[in-house]
Amino acid sequence: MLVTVTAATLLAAVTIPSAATQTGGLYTSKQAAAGATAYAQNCARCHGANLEGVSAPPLRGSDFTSVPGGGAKLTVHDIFKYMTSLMPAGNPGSLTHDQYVAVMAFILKQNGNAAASKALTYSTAMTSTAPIRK
Amino acid sequence: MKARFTGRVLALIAGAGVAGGLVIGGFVHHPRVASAAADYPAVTDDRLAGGASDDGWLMYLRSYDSQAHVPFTQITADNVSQLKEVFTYSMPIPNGFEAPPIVNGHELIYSAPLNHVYALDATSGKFLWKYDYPLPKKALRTVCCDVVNRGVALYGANAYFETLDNHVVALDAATGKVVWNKAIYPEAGVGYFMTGAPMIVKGNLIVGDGGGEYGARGFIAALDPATGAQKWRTYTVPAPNEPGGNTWPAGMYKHGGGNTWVSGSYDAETDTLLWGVGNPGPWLSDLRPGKNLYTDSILGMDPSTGKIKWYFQETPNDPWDYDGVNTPILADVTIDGTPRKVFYKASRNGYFLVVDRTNGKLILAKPFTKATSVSGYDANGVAVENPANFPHEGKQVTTCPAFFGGNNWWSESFDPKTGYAYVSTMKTCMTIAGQKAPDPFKAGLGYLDETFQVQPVPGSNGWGALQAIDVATGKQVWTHDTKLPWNDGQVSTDTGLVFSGSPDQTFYAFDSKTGKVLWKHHMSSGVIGQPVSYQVDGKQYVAVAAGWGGVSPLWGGPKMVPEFKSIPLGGKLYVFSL
Repeated sequence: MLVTVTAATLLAAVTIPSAATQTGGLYTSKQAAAGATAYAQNCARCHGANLEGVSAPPLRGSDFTSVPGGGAKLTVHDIFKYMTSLMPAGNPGSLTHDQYVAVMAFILKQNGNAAASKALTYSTAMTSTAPIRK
Repeated sequence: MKARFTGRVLALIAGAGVAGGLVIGGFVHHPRVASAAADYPAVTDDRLAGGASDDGWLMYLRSYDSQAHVPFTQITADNVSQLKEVFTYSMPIPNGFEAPPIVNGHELIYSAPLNHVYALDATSGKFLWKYDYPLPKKALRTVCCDVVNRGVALYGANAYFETLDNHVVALDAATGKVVWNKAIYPEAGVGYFMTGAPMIVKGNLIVGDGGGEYGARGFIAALDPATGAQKWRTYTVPAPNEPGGNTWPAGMYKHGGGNTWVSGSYDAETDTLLWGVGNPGPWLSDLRPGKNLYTDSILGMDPSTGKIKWYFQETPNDPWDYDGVNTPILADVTIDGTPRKVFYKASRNGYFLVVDRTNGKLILAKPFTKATSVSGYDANGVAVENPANFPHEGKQVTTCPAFFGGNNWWSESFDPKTGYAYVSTMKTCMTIAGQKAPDPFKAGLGYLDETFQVQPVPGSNGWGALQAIDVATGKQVWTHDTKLPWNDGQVSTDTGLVFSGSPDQTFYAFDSKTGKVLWKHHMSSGVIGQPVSYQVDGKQYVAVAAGWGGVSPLWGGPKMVPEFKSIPLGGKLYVFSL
């Protein structure tokens, strides 16, 4: 499992990063709906049913993404790389690519980003420099 | 199974809200002020210096030598089978309860997860007061390893504790009213968080920090106990122009980790504060060639100035997260016919280390569990590391112990009568890999650049053990092996007992010489709270909090975590006597 994730990460990491600065339009509603289910099953225990944070951090709002003093904003790449390699904490790297992408879409939706018609892909999520929240 | 787990967690949270006084989110707090305890005896420098023989339990591991050992004679190997519950007290928070109950006179103070503090009568459990610290949610962004707290520190009329959002708070111990509240770092959730028990030495309120997985540069600070004003701050990762600064490549010290999240010890004879230092950041050592002082070390410091007098480094240039934070225990033992003043600790890296506490020189090192990252220590006391077991960029290795040990934050009680250290052991290995194209530091994110998975030791009979180790030789005297990892500290007694608890909801009394189980008690949850013993009005008590959590159920991986699935969550203080 670990080797598979690492290989995928290797592949994704050498793709030229996306220069997107807008986060709207990165995922589809269908992906976010699938992500809600995957989140409830794999993430909610620690991160909260409403992403409010229980023993692990909140995943929505300024409590999730605020950075003091003009520091660099958290991007899709930042969260997706962390999530795919170290989450769920009890079994890191154990979800399918589709599940990870769906959870990313769900988190983007919960942070006020609009859905669109083009689906989010694993490699885009891994390299996107779009901020989680504008 | 997951649904059941979630349901239980939600029920506990809802119940806590109804019961009142428990805050989930927001800045509101509800201090409960009951009538002051009739007599709260002042905690003086003399009483702290005499902690080992005080009736109470005045600091995290009882006394400045951190031996967690009591001289009381009422509870013995012959009568311990009669030990029974005097009272229990529920604290409905579904996270790890790691703190000892701190006892002074008739008052018992418990510092629970998420910075809720309870005060009870130590003999009856009668509620005295409760303080709910207003913890902001964003603090949770950079908290590792559960939202724990390891206890209050007592001095004068006050009780002090550290918070997950980097404050130190002084409460009036008799009433729970806030005396002062100081930010030790101005931001929450950007790297730093605090979970340790402070320690007061010569009028210095000494605190550590956490954040080795989030690029927080470690420090130890001393405050004025009367006001919270800072007296000194020593960074454990030196700047380039400071001693040891040349053991880091340019710029890497700024987010170098080296955090100090477990209490230290104090040697009055040499006026030395001994404090442990955590892992370097990021985990990927390729990014920081060099010894990376003073990460994974024990520092010998001047408690009045914070100046570093000597150090002993357990694991240089560490890529395996082998923090050196677990408390160094001070002991006087005879080694090869010569009386020696030592400190010992079972390191995260799998070695039981005995070190001269007057100068930081290694005396002996012996594996206490399977260890392959470090293959030994050379004649200069420097760790010999296995080059093949470094997880370089793009490379996965298998090595032992796993990142969380070996041994972790809990105590290693010393029994001066037997000369044994009691070592709560985890038998683990891991696969661990350096990430290709590692990311630089970013505030609020994990700063590892590695991935990992916990593995069992091949051929092992389980994940855990409580071992007795002869400090003079490093040799195992007895072992109590268990399927689950042992994640609890111990308290030992002059009457030949060792008390400690396990994740499987059992609190044990062992014969300290043989390891025979003399008594055990079923608990409401797994036990990771530091056990204590104290006396009030001539009656001896043993007390411990049950309340499963901590690092193992979070990060133990797919082979370990399922073993915990039936353990109920939520805290409960148990107090026993004859």
